[in-house]
Amino acid sequence: MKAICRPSNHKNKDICLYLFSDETQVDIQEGRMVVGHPLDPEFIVLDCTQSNAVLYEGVTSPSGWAGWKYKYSVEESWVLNDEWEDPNA
Amino acid sequence: MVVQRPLVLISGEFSELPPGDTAEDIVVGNLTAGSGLTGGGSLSSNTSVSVALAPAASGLILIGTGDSAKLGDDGAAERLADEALSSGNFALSEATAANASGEASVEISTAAIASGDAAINIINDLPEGQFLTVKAGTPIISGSPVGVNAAAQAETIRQEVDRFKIAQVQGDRDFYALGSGLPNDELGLAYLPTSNRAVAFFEDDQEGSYLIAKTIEVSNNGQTVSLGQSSRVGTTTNILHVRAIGHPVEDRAVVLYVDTSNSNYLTAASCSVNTSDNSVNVGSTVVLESRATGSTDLDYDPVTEQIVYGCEAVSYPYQGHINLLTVSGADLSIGHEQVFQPDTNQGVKVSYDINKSGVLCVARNDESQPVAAFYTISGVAFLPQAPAQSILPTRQTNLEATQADFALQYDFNTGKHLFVFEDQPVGTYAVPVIVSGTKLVSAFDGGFSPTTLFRSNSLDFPAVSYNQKLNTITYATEITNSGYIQSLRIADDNTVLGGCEYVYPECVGSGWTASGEDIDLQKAQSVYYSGQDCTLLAGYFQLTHTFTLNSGLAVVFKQEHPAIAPTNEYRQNNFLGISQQTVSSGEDVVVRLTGSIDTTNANLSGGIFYYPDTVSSGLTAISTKPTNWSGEWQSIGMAVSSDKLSLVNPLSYNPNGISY
Repeated sequence: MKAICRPSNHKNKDICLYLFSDETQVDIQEGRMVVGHPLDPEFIVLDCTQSNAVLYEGVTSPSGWAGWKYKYSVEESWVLNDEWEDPNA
Repeated sequence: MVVQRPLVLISGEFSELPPGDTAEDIVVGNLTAGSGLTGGGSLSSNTSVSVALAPAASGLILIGTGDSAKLGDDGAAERLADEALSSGNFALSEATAANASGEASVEISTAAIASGDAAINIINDLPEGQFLTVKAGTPIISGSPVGVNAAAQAETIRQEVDRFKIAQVQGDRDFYALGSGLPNDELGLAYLPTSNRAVAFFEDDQEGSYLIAKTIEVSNNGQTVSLGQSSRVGTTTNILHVRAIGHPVEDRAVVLYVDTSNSNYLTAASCSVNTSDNSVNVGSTVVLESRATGSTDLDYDPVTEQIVYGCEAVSYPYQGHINLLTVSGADLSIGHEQVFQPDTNQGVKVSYDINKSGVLCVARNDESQPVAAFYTISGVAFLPQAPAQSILPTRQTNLEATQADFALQYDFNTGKHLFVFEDQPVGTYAVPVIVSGTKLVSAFDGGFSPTTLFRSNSLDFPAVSYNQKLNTITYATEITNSGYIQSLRIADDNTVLGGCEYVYPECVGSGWTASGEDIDLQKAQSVYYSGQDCTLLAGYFQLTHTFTLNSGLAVVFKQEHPAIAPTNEYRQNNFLGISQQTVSSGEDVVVRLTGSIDTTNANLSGGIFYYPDTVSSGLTAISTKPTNWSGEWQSIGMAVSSDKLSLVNPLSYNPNGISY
């Protein structure tokens, strides 16, 4: 899997925002992140750029993943975000 | 003193004794002074008497002294007599003039009495000959204000003014089903002035629960609606919190929604309309914020040509924030986020202020109280002006914790923002909010008294939009299973003037349901469709008796322009006169016409204006003259006594130059 997370120098350090399959094309650019085929993207993310997002590949999906529910780093792998609340609850 | 010497006879002649001689053997008597004289005494010596005069003597006076002293008259008595005579003559003259004046007064009084009698006769004579006998189109009560309908029949009129009038679009069908399945959540509606089309965004389970975009075209006559084919927005399903707005420069519709298939992130797309077939071209979906989002709202900044959006983060960290969205064709880019209220509890609204070149943003805090802040716009960032502050008295509101059931609309006519909300006692209210430097003048800070729109809570958030032609705010909501649409305007004294509440589905027609049948309107949205000068209202309608949901039924309401001729409507501007009889429909009724004095109403107050009652067939008094804006009511008469009403033609009253 591919995990898109906030970098260690970000106020939301290690928060995992997206989790994609290995096949999904992800291109983190200077001003945005393009998900899917470059000519026909699945969607574009405006608040993920080269300065505030990092891509981890080959990660294993945690149970019941949702955006902001987990933190991920190479050192600690997946850690539950204690401050996360299910917005659909 | 005169010395008198004794006489002697000397040689036969009288003479006086020489000085020093004394006659012998002469007996000398005494001289006695009588009344008015003093002196006297023995004549043997130099004896004299003098005349005694009273002090300040008037009349007889002594003139001269000594031997030459003589009595004379000082003339005082004559002068007094002359004065007395003159005074008497003057008094006589005055008495004559007074007599003449009295006679004149009598003449004037007589003339005044005659004039008064003449005036009474004129008043009494005025109504005579100013009657009209006309067939009644409805039952009419004596003393009621009546007008004429398109069939030239008399009908009782109530308080209505054309400028507020919201009437249904005439035509074979006046509601249009956008979809056919079950809606999931909110509905977005945008208008593109250049394309002269509206685009509705909604979810339909008959179309896989995708977000659907569909063009709505109102025909040139404003009476029929054409719908385009469905286009999917994005590839995900189960969306929430849809909002849309037109970008007039780019001629595109921008839709924002929360994508539950993507961690509830805030997502957007820019769409255009192909006017040849009314298809919608949907641009790439763009995640604006990789954060779980609740309510959203949009407005347009015509200065920087950016879209202002507000939204609420519904997971940690909770906050209400705003941002700017630049549209360039299908491409979207965002500015710098500005947090204006932490700890929001759903409900974010934004309203662009053209006068202050900034955005008023409102959110509900954890105590369900609305707070507002104001920011100006510089490039792609916000500059704080008025920090978040209360706009209603503390703990007064009854905003539901789970619904964004309040609305915010900028009034281009007054430069004020209208905030519509629920409150206690149970009701729906409206109050303006004015941006003034770092202060927001409102019900909290300015002491404005909210105006009651309904004595009941609305069941869902209201739809508001601005009518650029009539300069009114269109307000639509549902109250206890009936839909209401109304035009509002903010008065100079910060009260909210409301036009006639138009109830639907009565206005919808046979295509939808029977007249008066209950409905349940959800997620209503409205836009002003300037190309056809009408307001387009769309929402989900639910028949409560079957609980059958109909996805995205759109209803078009046309706000009728004053120049449009009346067509069988009850309205004040049709005022003909006062009925003189109680009749049934179809019977002839005698109507006292304008320009007359009507005497069918009692207990009137002299000098007070009267206008048709809002709901009944009677009259309502108002002590003030019509204001510069006569939107709420117009006088049809002024009482000249307790039982005499001088009837006037409201059409002739034209305070602000608008011709009816």
